[in-house]
Amino acid sequence: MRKIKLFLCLVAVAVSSMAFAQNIAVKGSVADRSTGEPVAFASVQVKGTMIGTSTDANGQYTITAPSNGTLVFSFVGYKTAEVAINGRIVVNADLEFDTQQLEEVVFVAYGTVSKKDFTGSAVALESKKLENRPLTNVTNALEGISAGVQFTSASGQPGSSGGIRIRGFGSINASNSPLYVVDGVPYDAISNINSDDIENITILKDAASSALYGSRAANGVVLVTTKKGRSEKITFNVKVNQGVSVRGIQEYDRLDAYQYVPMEWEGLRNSYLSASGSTYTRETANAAASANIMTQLGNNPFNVADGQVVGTDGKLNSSAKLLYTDDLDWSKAIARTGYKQEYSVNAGGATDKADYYMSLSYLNEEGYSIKSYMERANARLNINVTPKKWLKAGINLSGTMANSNIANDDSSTGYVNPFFFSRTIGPIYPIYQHDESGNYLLDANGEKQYEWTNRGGSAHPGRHVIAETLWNDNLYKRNILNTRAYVDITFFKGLKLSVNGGYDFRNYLNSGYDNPRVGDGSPAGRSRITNYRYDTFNFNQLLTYTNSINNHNFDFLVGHESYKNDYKYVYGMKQGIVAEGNTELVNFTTINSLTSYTNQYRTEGYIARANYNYSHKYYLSASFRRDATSRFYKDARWGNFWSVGGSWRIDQEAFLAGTQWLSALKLRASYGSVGNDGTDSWYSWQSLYGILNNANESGFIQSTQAGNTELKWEKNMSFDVALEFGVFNNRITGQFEFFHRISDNLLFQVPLPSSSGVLSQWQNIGTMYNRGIEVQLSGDIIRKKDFNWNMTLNLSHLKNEITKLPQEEIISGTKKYMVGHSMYDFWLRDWAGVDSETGNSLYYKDILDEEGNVTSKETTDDYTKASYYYVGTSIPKVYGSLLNTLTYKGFDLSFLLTYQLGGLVYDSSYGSLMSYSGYGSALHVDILNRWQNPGDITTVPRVDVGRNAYQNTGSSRWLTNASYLAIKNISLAYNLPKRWVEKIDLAGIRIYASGENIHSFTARKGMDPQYSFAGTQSNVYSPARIYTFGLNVQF
Amino acid sequence: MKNIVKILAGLALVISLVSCSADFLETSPTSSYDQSFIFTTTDNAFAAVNGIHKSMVRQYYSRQNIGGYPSFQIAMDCLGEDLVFPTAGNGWWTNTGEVRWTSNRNANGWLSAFPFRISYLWVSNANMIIDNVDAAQGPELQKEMIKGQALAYRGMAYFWLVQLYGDRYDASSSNSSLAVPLVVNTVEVKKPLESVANIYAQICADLEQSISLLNNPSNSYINFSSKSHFKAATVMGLRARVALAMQDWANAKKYAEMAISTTDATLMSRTQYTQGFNNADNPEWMWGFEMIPDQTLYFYGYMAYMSWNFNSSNIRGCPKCINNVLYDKIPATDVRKGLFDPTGKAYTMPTSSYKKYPYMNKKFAVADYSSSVADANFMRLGEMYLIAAEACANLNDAATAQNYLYTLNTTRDTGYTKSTSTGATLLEEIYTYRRIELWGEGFRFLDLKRLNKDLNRNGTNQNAAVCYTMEVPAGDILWKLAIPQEEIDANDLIDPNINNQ
Repeated sequence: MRKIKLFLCLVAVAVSSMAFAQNIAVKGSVADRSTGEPVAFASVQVKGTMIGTSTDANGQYTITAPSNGTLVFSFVGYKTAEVAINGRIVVNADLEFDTQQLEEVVFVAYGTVSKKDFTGSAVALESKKLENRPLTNVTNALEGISAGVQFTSASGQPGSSGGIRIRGFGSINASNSPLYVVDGVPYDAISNINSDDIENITILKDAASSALYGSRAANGVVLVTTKKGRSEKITFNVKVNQGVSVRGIQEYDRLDAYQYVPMEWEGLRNSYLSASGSTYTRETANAAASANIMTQLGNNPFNVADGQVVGTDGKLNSSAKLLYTDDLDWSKAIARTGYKQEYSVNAGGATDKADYYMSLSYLNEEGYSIKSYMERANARLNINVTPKKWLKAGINLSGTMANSNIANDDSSTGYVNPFFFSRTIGPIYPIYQHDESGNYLLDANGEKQYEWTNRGGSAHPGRHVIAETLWNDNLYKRNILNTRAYVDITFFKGLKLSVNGGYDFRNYLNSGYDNPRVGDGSPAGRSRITNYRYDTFNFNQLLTYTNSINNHNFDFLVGHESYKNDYKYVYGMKQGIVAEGNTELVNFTTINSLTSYTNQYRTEGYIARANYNYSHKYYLSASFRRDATSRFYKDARWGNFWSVGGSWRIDQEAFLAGTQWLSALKLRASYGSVGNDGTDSWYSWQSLYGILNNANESGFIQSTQAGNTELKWEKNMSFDVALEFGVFNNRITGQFEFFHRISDNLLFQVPLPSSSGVLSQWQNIGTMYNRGIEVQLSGDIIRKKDFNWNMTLNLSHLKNEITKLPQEEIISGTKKYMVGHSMYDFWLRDWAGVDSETGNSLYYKDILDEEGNVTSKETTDDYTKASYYYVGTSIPKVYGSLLNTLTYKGFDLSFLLTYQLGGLVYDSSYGSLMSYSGYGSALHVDILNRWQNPGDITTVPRVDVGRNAYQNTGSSRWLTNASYLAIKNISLAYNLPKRWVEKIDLAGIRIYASGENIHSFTARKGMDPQYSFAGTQSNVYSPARIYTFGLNVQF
Repeated sequence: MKNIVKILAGLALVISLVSCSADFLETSPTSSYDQSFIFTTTDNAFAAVNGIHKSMVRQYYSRQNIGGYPSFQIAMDCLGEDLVFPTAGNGWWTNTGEVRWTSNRNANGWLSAFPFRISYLWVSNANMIIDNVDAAQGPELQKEMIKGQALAYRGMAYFWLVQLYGDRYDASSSNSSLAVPLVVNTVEVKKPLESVANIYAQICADLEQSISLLNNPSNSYINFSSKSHFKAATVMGLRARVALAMQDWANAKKYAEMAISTTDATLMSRTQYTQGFNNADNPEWMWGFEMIPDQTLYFYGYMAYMSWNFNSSNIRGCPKCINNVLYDKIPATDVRKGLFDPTGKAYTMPTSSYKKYPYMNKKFAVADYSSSVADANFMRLGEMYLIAAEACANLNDAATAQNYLYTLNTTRDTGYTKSTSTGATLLEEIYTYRRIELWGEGFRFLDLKRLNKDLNRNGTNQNAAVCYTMEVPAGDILWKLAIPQEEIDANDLIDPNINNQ
């Protein structure tokens, strides 16, 4: 009240001092230009005076102002509007949403900072941008929003997330994943958050921004902030989404049955001839192949007898016709159109003493692979109270319950993996049993019966992925509770103590059941239960002091933080089902496995930060953090991390005051260090003996990993410099950024000679850097009252290089680590094409002199003698995204493209379709170009099952260009005009449609260049294409 | 006053939470123990021996055909000519290269890596015990038993290593070519390659010391009921095997005879011969592994590849068969003939999805076709008779050799009459019975190698389209596995070009 009185006095003084102007009472409403929604609590001021008021909850205001004056309307998030009164008594204003303004606040470690005062490198995604894009897993929305951040594709399993790498690859053996922080507390299960609850997601890229999370921030930080109640008017939103999910990446092109059988014949015939010490001639081999090929293949789908399917000329019998053409497509049989539905409700409100937000949502999403689904319910409650001016407290609770059945793609070549099985089974094996004339063989109930007996050795005999998927279970139940609570005490203006606590538990229950009829469970049937849970506690105590003296603005923070994560694992498995239909362990006879254990992880740290700026023109910030981790021995576990940053807002300088076209110009730089303790085990420093009982006698066995009491923090030192600008009233904005990030004391799982009996030891050996350029350019191509078209281009270039290693070279899968090379440089046999005389694959081989030095190279057809070479890298030359956003009246249209230029993929899935280690596995259509006769010039070697290892071994032959262009998302939304909506007493209605993973242009159909950062492929649940339609009603 | 409330509230919050207790950061796993704990007492040290016993049969490297020692055995027969894969099956042992001889020299392949890794795992665990058991608290006799076990493991492991990665031991030469690193303590663990001769010397010394520690009837710690533990007779059997490989006929005879007289094992009956080789209670087993249901190896187990009836893809699609030429050499009255079906039609399989092929075996069986649980056999008394016979024949003591062969074969063959052959003919008979008696038990490749014979699969039911390699001459580089590249990369004491011979 006192303030209002004071204000009225001021108004009175002002009014009396403006004796010449004629004051009139003006009223009106302030509304959002795009939605027509009233803007509550907007400031209304008479230009050039201190007279002002604000709009009420309905956006209405009244003010006394000179009739020839001008009113200035402003509100956070909107562009300021000036309207001349011109003697009117009603003056309405439309405020335009200001995207620049919205980014005013940047979420940083332990707080927020205004955008203009921010000295680091961060990119944010606000809730607005999530509204039209209903994603089950919100991390997938981060792709494409920022330069310098690389993604792998999320699996098609509902709710899954892809991988994220911020500014390259920080570690070779330790973790490369960023730290996720949800409402101030580290949290690993971000995929369980309802995207509707999210206010903001911010990616912190440089050390200055992330150093305060020193302990685990080496790979960048992703900050997630959930929604709070904001306005006095209670908001109430209801949202309904309906969608479908289909396969996003089409299957590889494979031979059909008519092409396939003669090719297998050729593979058999050539094997007879090429076997060492073989006694076959071409004629006897032809005859033997014709006589035996169908026996090898195990099933004859044609209407001619086994010995007559393929002639001795290698051609399919011209009268051979398939008996059951419609029963051979396994890829189609495992797929379906999945249905997705989501319903959510949220409500929020605020008074000056309290605010609240609550939400409830339910999601049910079927994957496009049969039986896979996820069902999830989320609830959240966020309440903050301010009982005293100096005391503020709040609690943010959220709970998740999720049930799912997961398509089993754990093993790339597992028989239960539907993607492996359906991709690799030959095109001659029916799904159901048929009689000799091709009719379905029905059982006593008139049902079709699955066929799994008549198969070739490589056609997964005795296994049936469709039956197994339908009859088995791989169920997950997740129960998650997140708790965040805090108390803020302000001792006096500027000095505040915050105590934040977080407790999360995540409980996972996996029930696996393998049926007794076919597959791993056959014939006894088996069931297993895995229960694991994480209990994490996080506490921090922060003391902050903020003050401004003249033009010197500064704030300080000191604090302490502790983190505890307890993991408990219980596993039991039994076989011997008693009665079918009950998968509980009690219904099985024999225990195959029963175990449990607990693991613990702790960290503790001390924090300090200082920010200073002079006149919002020159900025300096510094931070320090001292951290300890339980993963290292007590004498080595503390690490010190620090950062410094500075920025200069050049546009604030007097000498630029007259440059109208320049709206913003800022130069900033930072340098700092952050740590990584992400080893594979929580006990990496210890020399351990595992428990290994010999039948019922107690036993211990040495770990194959040696301990190391000197193990310490891996350190990342990052330098970052950027220029940010805006021109023509911020119509074109952009930033150019350079970073150089050195990872030192690399946590390296150093291979030890296997003759030492110990395979590896974690050591801090090695240095690597990531250096890159990031460009972001954004422009309003069209900027009109009702029509806006914004285009944003992101472009990144990265160089990764190892500069120090524990030994000269370390080979890891298809890569070799060596000084001067990146961690993703392929190290493979170098394929030299096909010998046109023999049809054998050729590989390069070094010629050595007597001292063992390489003098030159030659080719060999013996892969075991081939030399290995560096043959390219999986790291692209350039990657990035292009985002277009168009708004026209109530319409919003956006589309996101992502791209990569350069880089290679080792396409092992293609390699296996071009190989033929046995009989009955599917073949890629490229094999039609195989070598057949001396003199043939081709890139596909002779088809020869016996020599498969020689013809098709791992080599540079399987490297494929990884460049791609992907249409990741298109979404269209329409806000119904205010005047219609108000008639039915609603605040707003929005309808929208969205498509994810719409199309990718790649070098080979079937390949996913975004499968992994290492440029590998696997037979997995490839990404889903999801179309969603939604309706959002605001009350 | 207001400030006091604030300050008190703030202090209370800070004090309650800001300081973590001193041991907050001390964590340790519940599924492992610190190394120092293991050698505090002899009981714990003995548990470390038990760990090695269990490591003989275990899932390794998430690689389905690597289940420990039984995988060594399977690989040895895949590399021979007596075990026949009628088809490539689901790829294990065929596409993976063992049957085809396509991986022997692939230094980046599993056939090169797994015997190396696992053997040195045994060596390293044994070295830890040998170096530390003396300081443990406990009875001296128990320490002797423990050390005797560890030495036997080390000798056994090096015997595998030198046979697989070294040149054939030739009693008539210096055997100075390089084989594998010789690591015999826990201090110097990175060592250069050692000569074949020196590796064999170490093996003999370890086994002989083990025998002297274990051959002590008054040491009650050695009265094991489990066949996974080494008794003196088992180590004598190992020592006899080593002597055979060294063409040291005198010691082969000596140690085989010692084993026969020391062991409490007896030759099994004809009935027991047909019971599937899956139970350590069989009286003939001297050394083996006893598996309990909750330690099943699932599809990693020996029986998942070699039995006729376990319900695995590999067995259903590719039952393991015997070389028809060898089969024809088995007398009709011999129980061993009945372990195979030359027609490929005779057996009633557990379900219709099992494929049948001529000459498929029924020697190896699981008790319950839904489970691969089975005891594993590493040494049988019958082998001791064959070693003794071969040694005697080479020592030109035909009569004794004939007697050993007779003792063994009469328990198998009701119509067996004592051989009257001598010299090379007698030796051939012994070799043939060795192939028959030990079919599928992991001997053939090493027998061919030690006898310096060619591999020849022509003229048999071996299918060229499956096994690809029909002939390999004796002495070819292929008889020696490549030193794993991972070892060369991590051990700078090894010539990087060692495999480019």
